Amino acid sequence: MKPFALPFRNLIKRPSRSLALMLLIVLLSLSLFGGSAVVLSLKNGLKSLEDRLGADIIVIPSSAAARTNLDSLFLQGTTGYYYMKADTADKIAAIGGVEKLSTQIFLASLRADCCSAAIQVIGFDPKTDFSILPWVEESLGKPPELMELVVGSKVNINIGESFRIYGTTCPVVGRLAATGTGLDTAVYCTVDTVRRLMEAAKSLGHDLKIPGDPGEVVSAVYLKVKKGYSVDAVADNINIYVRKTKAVRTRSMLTDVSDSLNGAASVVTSVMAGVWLMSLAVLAAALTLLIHERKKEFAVLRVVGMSRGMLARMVLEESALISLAGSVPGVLAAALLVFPFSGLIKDKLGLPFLLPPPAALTLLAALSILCVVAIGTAVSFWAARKVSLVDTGTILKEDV
Amino acid sequence: MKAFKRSLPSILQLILALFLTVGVSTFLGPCVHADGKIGPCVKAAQIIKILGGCLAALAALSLFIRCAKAKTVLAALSLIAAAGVFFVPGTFHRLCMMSTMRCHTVMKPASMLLAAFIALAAAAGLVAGIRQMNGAKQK
Repeated sequence: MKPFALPFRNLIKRPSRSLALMLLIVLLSLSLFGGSAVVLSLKNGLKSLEDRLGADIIVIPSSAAARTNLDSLFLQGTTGYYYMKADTADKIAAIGGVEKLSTQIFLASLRADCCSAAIQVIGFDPKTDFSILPWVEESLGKPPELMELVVGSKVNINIGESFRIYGTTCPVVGRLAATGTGLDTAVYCTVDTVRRLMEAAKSLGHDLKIPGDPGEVVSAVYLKVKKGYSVDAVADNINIYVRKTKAVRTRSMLTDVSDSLNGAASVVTSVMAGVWLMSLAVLAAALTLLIHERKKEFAVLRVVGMSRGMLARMVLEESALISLAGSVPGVLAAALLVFPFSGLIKDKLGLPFLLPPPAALTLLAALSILCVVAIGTAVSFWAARKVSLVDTGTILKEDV
Repeated sequence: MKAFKRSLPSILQLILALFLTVGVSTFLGPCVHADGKIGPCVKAAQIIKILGGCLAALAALSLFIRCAKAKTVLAALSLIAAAGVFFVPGTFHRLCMMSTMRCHTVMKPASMLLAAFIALAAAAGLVAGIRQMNGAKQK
């Protein structure tokens, strides 16, 4: 007889029982793969945020710091615009310990103008930028030209189409890779482009509360601190000596995000562990009851010549088959819940969330199936041992 | 029991289609803008609701009709309607500009998943109908 032939027939002949056991296994693999995919996506999102921030310190106007915080821009993609005088950058550069410095200008589009929602416009200086430019060059190969736009991955506009902001039409020349953060919902251009758009907004009568000429303002200054200098010390010096600004340490922002992320990951892991403990306990109990129910069947098999070892192997093979048959649908069900609804999960968690690449997810799925099959089979080990100790004579005499 | 097994694809299709229609009208629905303005996703949702209603009607009809040929035709029509639901959000009809909005995060994936399951049920009904027709021919 072929290996697995008898266990397979046993399972097919008892569909209700096999289905019930399979459902438990489906629950195990769904929680394992689904939970692991969510946790990995959270960690991937955090790493992506770390890579994209690039700077050690971000300096924004102190009035903006009071109204909003950078978390809402980077994590939720909440639109905002605030301005300070451009010479603030020179004052910051004069503070010791600054290795690299670059400015950015923010603007928000009108909702009705182009889009079904207000969109954040971020202008960067291609000569000095070190956080957005590497990201743009990965996708486009070069910075955008004047009046050209590069969109984040969550902005649904195709390359080659036009984007209308404050009555000005700008062509879209590139799309950036996903980061799993609020940065995916912004559009990027050079500071010169943003200044032109600010002039256009002013000419349409929109009050952007700019302190002076659009050509003389910036929204944020990004700094990289020299080696050997303390980031905290440089940030403190900026807060003391440069008026009307607030220096935000990106490390502290990342620490806050990381703490929230660890909290969310702990909850997911705890739920996974709870589901596993419960399911394994029910599975072990069900297998024990089944062994008791099938005593006569095993006794007959012993009488016709099956050895104790073969009987035990049959029980283990049945468990392995059930585990395999249940783990694949479980992984598929988890994939159908997590992948299409990843946007919703990100929205509800309010944390960076970036699905790992397909190769990593496939490996995770394979490992989940392997783990569930191994543990599902191992749970039946005690039952298989009990089966091998069946006393044929006593069991068959019970009917007499 | 046999009659129930034969009706199972239609029953599943009916339940899923009703869930789709009611869902897209409520908790699976499109974006709600605070200023009352309507996004392009609202029209997409209306199309999905109409197709969902048609799918429910086709499934209900299939439960009452005994003729195998008619059931097969109904199953084929259901398959086409389900494919329509699958491709309406984002392909046949555009949605809002931002992929973070509700039409992209909830309505589109939910509609596509439900459409896929309805299509599977319709395909099972189609296969059952063709088998029934072939069985009748052989007799």
